[in-house]
Amino acid sequence: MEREIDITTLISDHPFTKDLPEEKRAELAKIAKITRFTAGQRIFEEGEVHKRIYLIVYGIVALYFYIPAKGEFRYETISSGELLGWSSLVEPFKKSSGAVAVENTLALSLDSDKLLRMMEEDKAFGHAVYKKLINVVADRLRAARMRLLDIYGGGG
Amino acid sequence: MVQQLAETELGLDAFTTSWYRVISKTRETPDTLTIRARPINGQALSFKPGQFNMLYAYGVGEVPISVSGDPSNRRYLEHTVRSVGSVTTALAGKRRGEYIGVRGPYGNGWPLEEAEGRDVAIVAGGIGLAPLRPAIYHIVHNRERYGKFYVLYGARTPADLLYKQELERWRGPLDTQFLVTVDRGDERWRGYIGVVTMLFKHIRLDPANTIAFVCGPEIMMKFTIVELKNQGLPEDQIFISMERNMKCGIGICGHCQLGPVFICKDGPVHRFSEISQFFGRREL
Repeated sequence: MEREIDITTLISDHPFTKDLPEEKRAELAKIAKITRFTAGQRIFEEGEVHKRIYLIVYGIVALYFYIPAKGEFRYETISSGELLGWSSLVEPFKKSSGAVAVENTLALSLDSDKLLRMMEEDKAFGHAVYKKLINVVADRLRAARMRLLDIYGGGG
Repeated sequence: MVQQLAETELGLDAFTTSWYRVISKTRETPDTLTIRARPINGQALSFKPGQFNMLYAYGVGEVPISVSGDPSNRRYLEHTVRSVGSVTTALAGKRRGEYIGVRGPYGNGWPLEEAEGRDVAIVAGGIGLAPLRPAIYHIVHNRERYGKFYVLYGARTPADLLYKQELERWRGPLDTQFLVTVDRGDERWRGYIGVVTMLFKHIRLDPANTIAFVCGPEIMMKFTIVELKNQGLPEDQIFISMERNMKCGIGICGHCQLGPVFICKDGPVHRFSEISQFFGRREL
């Protein structure tokens, strides 16, 4: 019971889920679990089919590509209040990059198959989640465009 | 004629170069270093955070460089120089004991008095931290005079971060939110990755009570101003430091004119509401 209360509170506080209907937040709590990552721990690898999404409560996670002969290219961080792993909700459910915890990180981990079933069964809920997901993807796209600009390249 | 104008208006010979002896250099990044120099005639040192000097490499030329040191330090001046051309490369090549010419300080500086009693948000990109460093020193030394203090700083890579030891020190106090990010992290980097504008999602400014100081390449300032406005800051509470091809330093030659203002004399720090119609214009 205590575990469920904690998870429900975290879901009610998290920016991605806090404005969803209360009964949906309660349902999400049933498919969520608290997950801890220690600094340096791999969360998923590029190309992996990974059926979980993560609501970061605190900590920092870096997204990266592995470049042969060069190593990891870490290009973005996800931190408290953000969603990690959007591609688990979009076919073919393969991770577009790897993820590694940079700091000790606490997250709510949600089973993405179960979440997709909830979205399928309740179209209004599904619509609400996809709208939020679009914002996550748009944020990542905006970040990628800003990196293309090389905004520190012109002196200062 | 020009000399007479300068003497009349400023009450000094604004074209006189003073000679300084290099006392040390600190390598900040592969192409950037901080030169510490002291006047050979023992003259008093004084500058306002945000002002700049014209630095002269004998026989090569003169360039405008912001003073980057602690304004409470009266023993020597610090300038952070990136080697990008013949003059800056010559300056960077000066060894301990050699001389550089200094003319200035020029310009208005950051409005630190106007910011007293209010929250301050400092946003720096790349070498744009150099002109803001004296303002950070000032606020850190006079912390009780200011409200909440935010510093957002971005660079390309961890190796490109300036003043690494001070960054560690400044990030310590709980009364300051000092966030640093890089475009490309490596396996040793333990902080944020992404451009500096992405750091705004981690802070919530009080728009009625915050003054923002911004310095970096204009493209970085453009997107930073968008984020500041998204947080509700009006244009007259945003100050930016502009960079142009400054030559005389006193608004006579016209090289640094931007619309109706001379960056060297009326700036380099400008209230954004006063120059917003000229900022980012293709033909200016």
